[in-house]
Amino acid sequence: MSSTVTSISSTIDTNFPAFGQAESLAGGFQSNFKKISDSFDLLSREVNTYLNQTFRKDDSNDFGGNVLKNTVFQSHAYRVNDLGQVVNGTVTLNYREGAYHKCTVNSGYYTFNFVNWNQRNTYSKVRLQVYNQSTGTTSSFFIGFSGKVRYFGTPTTQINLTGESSVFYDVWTTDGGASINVKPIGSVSSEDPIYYSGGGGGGGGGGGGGGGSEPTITSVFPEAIGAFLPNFVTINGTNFIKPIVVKLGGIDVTTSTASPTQLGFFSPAWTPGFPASLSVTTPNGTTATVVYFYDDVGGGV
Amino acid sequence: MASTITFYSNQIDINYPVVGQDNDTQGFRDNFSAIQSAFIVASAEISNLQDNGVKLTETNNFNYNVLKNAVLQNTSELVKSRTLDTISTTYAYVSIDYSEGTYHKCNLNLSVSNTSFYTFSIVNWPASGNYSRLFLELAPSNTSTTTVAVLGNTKIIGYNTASVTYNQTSSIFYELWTVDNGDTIYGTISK
Repeated sequence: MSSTVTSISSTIDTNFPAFGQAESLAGGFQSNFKKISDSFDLLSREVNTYLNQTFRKDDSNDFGGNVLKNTVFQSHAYRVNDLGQVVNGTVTLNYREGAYHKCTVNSGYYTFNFVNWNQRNTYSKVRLQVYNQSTGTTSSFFIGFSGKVRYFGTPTTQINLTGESSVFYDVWTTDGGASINVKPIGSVSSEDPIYYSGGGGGGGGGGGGGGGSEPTITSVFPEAIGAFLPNFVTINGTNFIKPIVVKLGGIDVTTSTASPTQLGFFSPAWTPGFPASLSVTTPNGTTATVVYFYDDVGGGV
Repeated sequence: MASTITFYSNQIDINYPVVGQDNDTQGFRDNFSAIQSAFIVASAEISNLQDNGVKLTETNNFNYNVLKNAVLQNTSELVKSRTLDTISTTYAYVSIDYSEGTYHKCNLNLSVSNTSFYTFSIVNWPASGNYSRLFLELAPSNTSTTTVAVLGNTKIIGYNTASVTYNQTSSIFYELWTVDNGDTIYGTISK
């Protein structure tokens, strides 16, 4: 497609009026002004087309089912359709609303019905998160899908989840939703250990995990802290896995710096001469403890 | 958004100058002014298209604007590859930047004498309300014991542990996703 603006603008008489030409040839000016005006009309229509139909970086774009091809995506995301709390029974999920659907449920029976899939011979896929926000108790769900369904893996009929938890499915079709494929991905729960990390971590688990490394304290500087001074204490060691709890004399202290090998905090008020434990606890429950002293002559080694 | 070029071009008096009468030269100035204004508007609108229109010939940054009702054909995702040197201490933090790609491959040069612990921290997840998914492929150089964790409130389906240990040379694949800017990260492991 090329511009047609020059089809008119090229006919503008750029040699008019000729030197010495009579002023009475007003028609020449009129003709040129007319061509200029008509050229702008063409230009305006063409610009309008681009303004209305061009894929824009600064706005939402509706392709109307047209093809976008030969593209490499970097750092993209998909719209989330969060339905919030849904009630027992059939839950309608609209493919046009996003590629990730989240439903909050309580115990009960739920049948998910996907609508508005893309047309036949396109691969359309969503991820479904069924979220149970109950805490502390075990909830039973009965989950199904409407239509002609092929399950990959064991069809899930009843799911028992404890605590705040989610179960995930991938659902896709290639025939406009005439039949859908459902693959249960699995579930997670707030009862599961949080996947904090930093150098150690629990072992076990389905992957044959190994044992985590316990934190160790190799040195503390200064080795004693002085009276009434805002001493900054540095703990050197290993396997300081977040979140980390540091206690001095049994009292939590707030660390202001933290790395896998070094922690720092400002010492709290402390009774002179009183030896106390300095401990580091990681999410694995492991604790490294050393005896730490208050030095009433000013701190330091 | 509609073009406003004709707002000015329609002000061009195409009947000026009138034949057979003494015409005020102001008519020329008015027409030239209208022509100039129309060009200014056209230039601005074309510049807008040049700045914000998608180019087929270069990288385009959409700043997470919506692309909907599109059928994708022959598309792929950018791979970010790196080789992690043998770690001198027992463990190492590795920052994975989502904005650099949604598929990250890390070749792990493992010590043959020490166990290794890698903690991966995913940064620059897209804003909350977006489903963001990242693949992390780990390719160990040998069968030395390697423990891997993903930093944060990460829940790996089927692994109720804080970290997972491997002894293999075949690649390990993590699929990690979030819908809340990484506050909670879900994941699966294939190995």
